Amino acid sequence: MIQSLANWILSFEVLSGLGSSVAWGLSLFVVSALIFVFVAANAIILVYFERKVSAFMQVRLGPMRVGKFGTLQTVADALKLLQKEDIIPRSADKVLFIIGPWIILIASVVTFAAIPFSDSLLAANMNIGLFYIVSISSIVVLGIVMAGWASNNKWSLYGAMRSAAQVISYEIPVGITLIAVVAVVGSLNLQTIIQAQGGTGNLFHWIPIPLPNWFIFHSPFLFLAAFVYLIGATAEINRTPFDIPESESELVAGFMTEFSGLRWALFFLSEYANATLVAFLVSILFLGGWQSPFSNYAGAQIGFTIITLVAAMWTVFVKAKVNRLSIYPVGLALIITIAAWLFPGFAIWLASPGIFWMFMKAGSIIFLLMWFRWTFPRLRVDQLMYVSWKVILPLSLINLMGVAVWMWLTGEIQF
Amino acid sequence: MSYFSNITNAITTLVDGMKVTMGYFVRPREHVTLQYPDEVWPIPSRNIGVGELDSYNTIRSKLTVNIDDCIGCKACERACPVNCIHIDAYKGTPEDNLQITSNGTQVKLLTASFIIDMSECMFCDLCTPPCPENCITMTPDYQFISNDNLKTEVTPEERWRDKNLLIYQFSKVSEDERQRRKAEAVEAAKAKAALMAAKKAAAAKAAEEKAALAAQVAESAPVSAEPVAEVIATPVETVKPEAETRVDIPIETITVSKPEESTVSVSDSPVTEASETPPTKENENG
Amino acid sequence: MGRLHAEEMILNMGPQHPSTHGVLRLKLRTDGEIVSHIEPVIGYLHRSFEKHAENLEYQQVTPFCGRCDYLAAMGSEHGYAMAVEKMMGIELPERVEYLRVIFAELQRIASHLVAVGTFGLDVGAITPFIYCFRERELILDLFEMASGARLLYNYIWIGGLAHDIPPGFVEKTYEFLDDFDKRIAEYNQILTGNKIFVERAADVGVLTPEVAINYGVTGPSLRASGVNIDLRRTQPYSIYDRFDFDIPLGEGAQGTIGDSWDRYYVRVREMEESAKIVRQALDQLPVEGDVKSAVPKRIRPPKGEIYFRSENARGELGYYIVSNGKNVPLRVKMRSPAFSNLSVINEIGHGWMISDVIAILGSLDIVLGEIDR
Repeated sequence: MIQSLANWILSFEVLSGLGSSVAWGLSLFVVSALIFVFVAANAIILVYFERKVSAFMQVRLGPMRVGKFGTLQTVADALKLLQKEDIIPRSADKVLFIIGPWIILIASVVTFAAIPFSDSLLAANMNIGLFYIVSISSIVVLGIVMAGWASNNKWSLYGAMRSAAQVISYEIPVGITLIAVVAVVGSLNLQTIIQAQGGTGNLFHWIPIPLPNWFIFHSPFLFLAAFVYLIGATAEINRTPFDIPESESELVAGFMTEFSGLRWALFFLSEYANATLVAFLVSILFLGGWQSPFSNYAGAQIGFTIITLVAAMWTVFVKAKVNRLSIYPVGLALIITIAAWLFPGFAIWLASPGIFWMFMKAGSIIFLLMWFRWTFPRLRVDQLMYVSWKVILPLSLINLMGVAVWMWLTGEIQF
Repeated sequence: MSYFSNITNAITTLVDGMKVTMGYFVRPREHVTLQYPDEVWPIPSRNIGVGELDSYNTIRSKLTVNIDDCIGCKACERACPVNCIHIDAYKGTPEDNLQITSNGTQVKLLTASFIIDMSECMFCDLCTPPCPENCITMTPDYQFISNDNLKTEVTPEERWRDKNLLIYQFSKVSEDERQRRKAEAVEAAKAKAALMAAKKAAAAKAAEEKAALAAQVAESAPVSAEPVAEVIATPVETVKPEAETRVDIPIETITVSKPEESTVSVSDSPVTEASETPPTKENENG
Repeated sequence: MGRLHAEEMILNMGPQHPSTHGVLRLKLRTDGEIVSHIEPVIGYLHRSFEKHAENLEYQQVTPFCGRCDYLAAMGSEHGYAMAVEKMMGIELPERVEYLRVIFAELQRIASHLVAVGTFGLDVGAITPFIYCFRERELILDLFEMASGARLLYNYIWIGGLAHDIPPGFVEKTYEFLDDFDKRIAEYNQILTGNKIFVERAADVGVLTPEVAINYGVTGPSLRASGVNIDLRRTQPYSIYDRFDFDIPLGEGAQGTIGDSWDRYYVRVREMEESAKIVRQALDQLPVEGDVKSAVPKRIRPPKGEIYFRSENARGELGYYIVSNGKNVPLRVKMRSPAFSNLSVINEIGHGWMISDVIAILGSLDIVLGEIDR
C-alpha cells in the first residue's frame, strides 16, 4: 500500500520531480499518520459506545447532554484530560514514569501496520504478519510493569505484578491456538489467511448447511479454538472478567492510579487499541476478515430472506412467549431483504468484500467484549492462573492436534 | 470428572447471566434515568394545609414561615435539636398594631427577628408540629440553587461564603426597629440585673450587720447552742449523683451443637425491665 | 548467592477506598498476596451521637438515631422508640404497630439491596448493583410518600408515627411487592449462580458458629453460619409473632456453611421473607386508628434504665437508656451490630488474599456510621 501511494504521489505533474525514495518516505509518513489517526478516532468512538452499551445494559441512558445523544462526550473528555495538571509524584521514578505509558501505546498502535482492512488497504504486507503482531503486542507488559513500578505506590505495584503474571501466562495458549489456524492455511500472512476463507462450503465439511467458508465453520476444533482465543485475548488486554490488574473496586485503578491527565489518556487509548486489535484478529482468523458472507448477489438476496424468516420465527415463538415483542430486528431484516431484491446493485455491494464487512465483524466482537465486561464479576488472580494453565492451555493443545487429525480425515492433507 | 462438570457449569451460568444483560440492552426504553432538569420526578404533593389535612406532609425541604400568623411563642425554637431557629420577641406596645392571626388569636408579642439558618437545619421536621398557629411549614422546594447572584454584583468572598444566602429572615420589621428593640431589651436587662445586684447587696449588708450584732450579744451572753451559720447561709442544695444500682442483665446461655445440625437452644430471658432506683438523698445545707 | 531478604509488607487500605463501605481503615500485613493480619482502624465518622443524646430531649434524639445507621434508619428509630415506650409503659394502637412493621421490613429490604449490590460491586460485577438500586428507588419513593424524606426519616416517633400514611400508599406498596419477586429471580440468574461469583465467594472467609458467638456477631452473618437466632422469633417484640415467615439459615449450598456466599444468599432469602411479611401486614392493616393518639405530650420516663434489643438489618441493635426522671435522658448507649460484626474480620480474614479480604468485608455488610456512632 505504501508503494502504491508513493506511485500515486509521483503521478502528479507537480510532484514528479521528487525522487522515488522521497515519495516513498512521504507516503510512509502519511500511512503511519493514518494508522495513528485511525486508532485515536477508533478509541473516541469506542469509548462512546462502551458508555452507551454499558448504560443500556444497566437500564440507564449514558451520556445524553454533550451533543445529540451524547456523541460529543468523548471529545469533551479528551479536551478535559489534555488540560489537566501533570502530576508526577516526587518519589516516583521519573524516567520510567514518563516512558511507561508511551511504550504501551506505541506497542499497541504499531501492530496495526499488519492488519488488512480490505483486500487493498494494508500498510505492510508481511509474510510473517501474524508472528509480528503477537510478538510486538507482548511488549505491552513491559510498559505495564514500568508504570506500576515507577509509581512508587504499593497498590500500583500489585496491579503491575498481577498484570505481568496474567499476560505472560496467557501468551502461551493464545499462541498455540493461533498455530492451529496457521496449520490450516500454511502461511502467517494475514492476507493469505483471509483469502483462504472465500466461497461457500459445508458446515464442518460434512453437514450440508451452506455457510461461508470461514474457519469457524471449518471444523469443531477451530470452532472451539475461536472461543479459546477469545478468552485468552480478553485476558491479554486486561478486560473483565480478567481485569484484576486494574480492578476498580479493589485497587482504585491498579497500575494506572498515579497517572493523571494526558498520561492516563494514553493508557485508555492503548486499552481500546488492544481491544480493537483483538477484535480484528478474531475476525481475520476465524470470521473471514473482509470477505462477505455471501458469495454473489443471488446469495445475498437468498441469504437475507432466510435471515428475515429466522428472525420472524424467533420473534413469534420465543419473544412473544416472554412478552418482549419487538419488531425492530424483523423490520430491519425485512427492509434489507426487500432492498436486496429490488436493487441488484445493493445486493452486489452486499456480496462484495470490503472494509464494511471487516468493521461489521470486528464491531460485533467488540460488542461481545463489552457484554462480557458488564455482566461478569472478576476472577481472582490465582483463579485466573488456574484457568490459563489448567483449562485454556490443554484445550489449545487439543485444538492443535485435533485440527491436524481433522484435516487428515477430510483429505485436505495427505501423509 | 468434576473438572469437566465445572467447565460446563461455568458455561451455563455465564450464558444465563449474559441473557439478562442482553434482555435489558435491547429494551433501552425501560431506562430509569431522569434527565434532570428536563424531566423531573413528580413530588408526592398533597395539600399540607391545616385542619383535617394537617396529618399529611409533602417532602421536607426549605422551611417557610407565615409571619402574620406567628405569635412569638418560641415553641419551634425550643423544639429544634440543632438550634437553627433564632427568634427575638418583645412585649408588644399599643403603637405596634399587633394583628389577629388567621386562627383568631390576638398576637401579644412583637417578633422583631425570626431567623432560620438553613445551613444548620437538618430537615427533621420537629419544628412544625409544636406550632400552635401552624405557621411554620416545610415546603417541597428542594432546589437550593439560585441564579440571582449571577446577575448582581457579588464579591468573590460572598460567593464563596454562600452560607449567607441560606440564612432566612422572615420578620417584616425594619432593621432600625429591630436594633432599637434589641437595645431597649439590653437596657432593661441591665437595669434589672443592677436592681437584683443592689437588692442582694442590701440583703447581704443587712445580714452582716445582724451577724455583727448577734456576735456582740453572744460575747456577753452565755454560749447558746444556736447555730449561727443558720442566719447567714442560705440553704444550698447539692444534688448527689444518684446511687447507681447495678442491674444484672442475665446472659443467655446458648448451647451450640455441631454445625451440621444447626440447632441452637436459647434459655428464655425476658428483656430487662427498668428497675426503680431508690430515691436519692438530697443533701441539706452541707 | 545469598538469600534474599523478604519481609512482610504493611499495606494500608486507607479511609478512602472504593470498597470499604465507608471511612474504614484496614491495616493489612501481607506476604505477597496473602494477608497475615488485619487491623481495622475506626473512628473516622465519629459524630458523638451518645454525647448529643445527653443534651437533647427524648423526641429530639430520634433523628439522630436514624443518622447512625443511615442505610436502615427506620429500624434504628423503631428500636429507640420501642425502648422509650417500654420504659414509659405506653400502649400503642394496632394500626401504629402494623404500620411500623411495614416500614421496618421495607427498610430491611432496602438495606439488604444495598448489601447485595455492593457485594457484587466489590467482586467486580457492576451491573447487578444498578439493578438493586433501581428497586431501592421504588422503596425510597414509598418512604418519601409517607414521611417526606428519602433517607433519614424522623418518622417513627415515641408513641406513634409522625404522620399517617397518605391515600394510595397501600396500592403502591402492593405494586412494588408484585414486581419484586421477579427481580429477585433476576438477581439469582445474573449473580447468585454465576460460576465466577461462586468461585469468588464460596469457601471464602468461613465463620464458624463458635467464633461468631464469641465475637458477638448477630444478624444475617450469624444466621449464615447456621445459628438460628433471630430476635423477631426468639424474643418477639412489637407484633412479629402474628406473621408467618421463615428464618433463612446458611446451608453451605455452594461450599461450606458460613462462607461469604452463604452470608450473601441469606440476605437474598431474607428479602423474600420480608416481602412476605409486608404483604401479610398490608392484608391485615386495620383501617381505623389514629397514629398520633398515643404520642405523649411530655416524654418524661420514670427514673430507671432499660436495655432493649431489636433485629435491625445488620443484627441486634440494642439501646441502653438511663433516665433520671427529666425530659432529657441521662445516657443513651447504642449497641451497634456492625461494630461487633466488624470485629471478626481478622479471625476470618487472615490467610486469604487481598481480593478475598475485600469480598469478606463486603459480605459482613458494615455501615461506618453505625460503627463509629
